[in-house]
Amino acid sequence: MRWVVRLAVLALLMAIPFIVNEYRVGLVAQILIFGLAAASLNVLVGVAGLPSLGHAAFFGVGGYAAGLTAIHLTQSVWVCLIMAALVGAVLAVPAGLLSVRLGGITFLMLSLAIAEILYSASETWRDVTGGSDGLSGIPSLELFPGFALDLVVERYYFVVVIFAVLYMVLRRFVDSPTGWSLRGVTSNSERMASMGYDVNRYRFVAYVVAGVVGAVAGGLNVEYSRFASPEDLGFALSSLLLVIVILGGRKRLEGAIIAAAIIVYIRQELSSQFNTWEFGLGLILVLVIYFLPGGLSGVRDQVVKALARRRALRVKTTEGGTP
Amino acid sequence: MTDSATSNDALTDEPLLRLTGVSKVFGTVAAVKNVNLDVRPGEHRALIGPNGAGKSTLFKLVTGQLPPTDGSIVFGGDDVSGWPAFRRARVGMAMTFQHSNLFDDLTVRENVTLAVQRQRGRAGRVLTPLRREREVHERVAVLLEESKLSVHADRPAGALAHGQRRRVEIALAYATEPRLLLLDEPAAGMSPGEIEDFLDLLLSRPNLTFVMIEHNIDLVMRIASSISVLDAGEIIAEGPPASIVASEAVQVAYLGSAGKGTAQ
Repeated sequence: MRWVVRLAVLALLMAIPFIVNEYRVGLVAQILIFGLAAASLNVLVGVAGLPSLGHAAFFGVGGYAAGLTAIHLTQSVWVCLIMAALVGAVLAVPAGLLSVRLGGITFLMLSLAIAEILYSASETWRDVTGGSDGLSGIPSLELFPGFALDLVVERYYFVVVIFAVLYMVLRRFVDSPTGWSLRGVTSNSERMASMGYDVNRYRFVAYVVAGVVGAVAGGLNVEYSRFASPEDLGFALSSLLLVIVILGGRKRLEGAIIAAAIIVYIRQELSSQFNTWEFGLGLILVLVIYFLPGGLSGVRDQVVKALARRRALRVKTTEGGTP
Repeated sequence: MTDSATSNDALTDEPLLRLTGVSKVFGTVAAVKNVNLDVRPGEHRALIGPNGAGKSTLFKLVTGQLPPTDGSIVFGGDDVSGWPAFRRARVGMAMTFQHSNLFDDLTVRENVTLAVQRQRGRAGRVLTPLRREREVHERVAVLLEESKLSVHADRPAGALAHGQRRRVEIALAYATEPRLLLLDEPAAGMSPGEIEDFLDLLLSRPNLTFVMIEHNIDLVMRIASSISVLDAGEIIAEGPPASIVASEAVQVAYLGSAGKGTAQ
C-alpha cells in the first residue's frame, strides 16, 4: 500500500510537464525543493525536538557551494551536489557540536545567530558571493559531459529524481532505530540517559543529517534556478521553512511536503498580488497553532483513528446482528 | 580488578556497589554526608529514613544524575564517580523513578522497544527500519507478557493507571538486563492489589541485586535482606531487618519520630 502511494505520486510528478505549462512546472520544482528542505528541518524539529530558526543557513550554504563549484570548478551536477553536501557537513559538524548539548531556547537562539552571521558574510564577501546582488553567471549544469540540463523539463526531472531519493533516505532515517531513539530523546531525555543512551550523540547525528540534506536541497535550488543570493540564507527563508514544518505537523514527514505545496503555492499567488504576503503567512501560522496543533499530520492521524473506530463498531454490530 | 593489592577482595565476596566517603553539598546544605555503603551481589537492600534524609539524592549520586561533591563510587570494579548517567546505565545500572518517568506520548510497546533496542546494540542503526528488527520485537513481547502489559501495549504510556505505570518502569529496567536495580519508592501510592502484582514482578528475578527506597515498613520487612538507615544525610544503622527494627537509634531517628507525630 505504501509503495502504491509512493509510485502514484512519482508517476504524477513525472507527468506534470505534460499537464501544466512551464511556469507551473517551475512552481512544482520549487515545492519539491522547499519540501525537501522542510522535511530535513522536520527531522531536526519534529523528530529530534531541536527548534531551529536558522535552517536556511544550510540551504544557502549548499546553494553557494553548488553555484561556486559550477562557476570555478566543473559543471557536473553530481560534483556540484556533492560539494553542497560536503560544505553542509563542514558547517553542521562544528555547529552541531557547539549547539545540540544546549537544547531548547539556547539552541534556537544559536541557530538564528549562525544563520545571521552567514547571511552578513554572504553580503559583505562580494568578491566570492557577488554580495547582495547574488551569485550570477552560474552555467547550466551537466548530467554527464556534453549533456547539459538546459531545458526547464530536464532540470525539473533532475529535481524530481533527487527529491525522491533523498526523501526516501530521510524516511528511512526517521523509521530506523535511530529515528525512534530521537523520538525517545524528544519525549524524555532523562529517561533515555538512564537506559544507556548518549542523548547528545543522537541529537548531533540528527543535526548533521538535517544539515546535509538541507544543503543538498539548496544545491538543487541552484541547479534549477542557476542563481544564489543572501536571501537563501536569510531569516525569511528560515521562518518560511519552520512555518511549513508547523503546518505539516511534526509526526509525519509527508506532512512537510504537503505543507510546502500549500505554502509555496499561496506565496506565489499572493506575492504577485500583494507585497504583504508575509501577513498571510503569519495568519496561517496563527490559525494552525490555534486550530490544528498537530498540523496536517495530526488531522490525518485523527481521521484515520476515527475511521478505524467506526469500522470496528460496524464489525461489532454486524457480528451482534447475526448470532 | 587484577590489581594484586586488591586481589584479596576479589577472592572474597566483592561488593557490586561500593560507596566510599560520598558527600553532596547544595550551597551550604550537606544533603549527603560521608556515606560508606557496600551492596553485595544478590542483596535486596532497603534504604529507609525520614523525609529529607537524603535518600533520593544518594540514588542520584549513584546513577550519575548528580555529580558527588566528594567520595568515590565503584560499580562492578569500575570507579564510575565521574561517569555520566548513560555510561553507568550501559554497565548494568538501572533505576525506577519516584514519580513514574516514562515516554508518555509513546505507546507502552514503543517505551519498552526503546529500552530493548539499546540493550541489543541496535539503537544506533540508521538505514534499516525498526519494524524489521525481529529479535528486538520478540524480546519486547516477552517483557510485556512478563509484566502483564500485553493488553495495554498499544496505549500511550501517559494514559495508564498508576500501578500499570509502575510496571512499565520495571519493564524498562528489566529490558536493560541490569546487574543493579535502584528503586525509588516503587510502592508509593499503590493499592494493596497493585503492590502484590508489583512484588510478583520484582521477585520474578530473585538473583537480581536491588536497592530500594521505601516507606512502607511491612513491605520492607517482607522483601529486604538487609536495611540501611539514612538520617540527615548519614548512615546511622545497617544490618538485617530484625536487628534494625530493634535498634534504638533507628527508633529515635525514624520510627520514633513518626510515632510521636511531632512536627520537626
